[in-house]
Amino acid sequence: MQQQAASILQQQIKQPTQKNTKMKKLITAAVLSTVLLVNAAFANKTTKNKNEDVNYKVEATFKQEFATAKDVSWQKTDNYYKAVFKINNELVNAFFTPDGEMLGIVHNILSTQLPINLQTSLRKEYDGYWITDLFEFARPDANGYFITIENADKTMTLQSTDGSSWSTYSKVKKQ
Amino acid sequence: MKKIIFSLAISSALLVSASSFAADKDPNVTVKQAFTKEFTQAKDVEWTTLGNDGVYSAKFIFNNEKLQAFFTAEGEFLGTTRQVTTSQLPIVVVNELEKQYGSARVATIFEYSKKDGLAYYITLVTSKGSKVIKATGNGELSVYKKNAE
Repeated sequence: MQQQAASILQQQIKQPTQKNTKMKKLITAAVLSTVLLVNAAFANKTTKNKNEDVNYKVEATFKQEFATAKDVSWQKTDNYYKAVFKINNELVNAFFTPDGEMLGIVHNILSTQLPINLQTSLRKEYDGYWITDLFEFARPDANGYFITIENADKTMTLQSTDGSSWSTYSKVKKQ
Repeated sequence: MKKIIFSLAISSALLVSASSFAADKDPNVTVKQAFTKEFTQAKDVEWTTLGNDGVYSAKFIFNNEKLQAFFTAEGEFLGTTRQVTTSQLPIVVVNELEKQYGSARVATIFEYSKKDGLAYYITLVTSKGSKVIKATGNGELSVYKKNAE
């Protein structure tokens, strides 16, 4: 599972930037998937290897990006490093390649931490659903929010990259 | 026109002499319908007008939060402002604020949400004075106003 996720990740990271709008949308989706997949790879990992050693390239990037981070701990899979730390008392996860490239950050949030347009959109368009997962993500080239909502019939994951509106990322009917 | 409306909205949000250009006034049906469409569960709605540009402002409670929304007389929804805390900022904005203005105290933060974008106006106080920083949702910071009152 982790190997497969890592392979997809590497392909996506190497995709060049395109000017075509349709291609941009595809790349945005791929970029978002990257963060999700890396996060999933670590979710499957056992927790006994917390506070693993981190190489100097990764550490240098981390210190540059998050100079004021507190309570930092490290985990790693075969291909990626994950730092768990606090900024302004909020728990944040950041992901890195062994070469020190930052892949992105994931920050679990409450619905009241969403921009107000995203909250009103949920009330208007997805009334009757409940929230099962919500996080903010950021990469050097894209950032936004992912939310998973459910009702009695289906589970949906929505994404927002403009802070104003949601689009459907995936939809699954319940059995 | 849009620039003036934007400026009024932000000035109102930043509470800069808001009372000097706000007057109680109920809007027409078109504006009220536009409001109800955007904010289905709003409570305690108070309407005012801003300046002479036909901009209506509604202050109300939504999801236990105080919001202010702006509409043209034609019912076009311009955006919403609300006061937020640092924990409601995107984490990339918090990170950039700490990196660039770590020693400053955050006095107030307003979120300004439009249909096509999002920005935060953060009033910082240092020993040298205060300033308003504009932050985009992706963590880009710029100085919006120096020596803010």
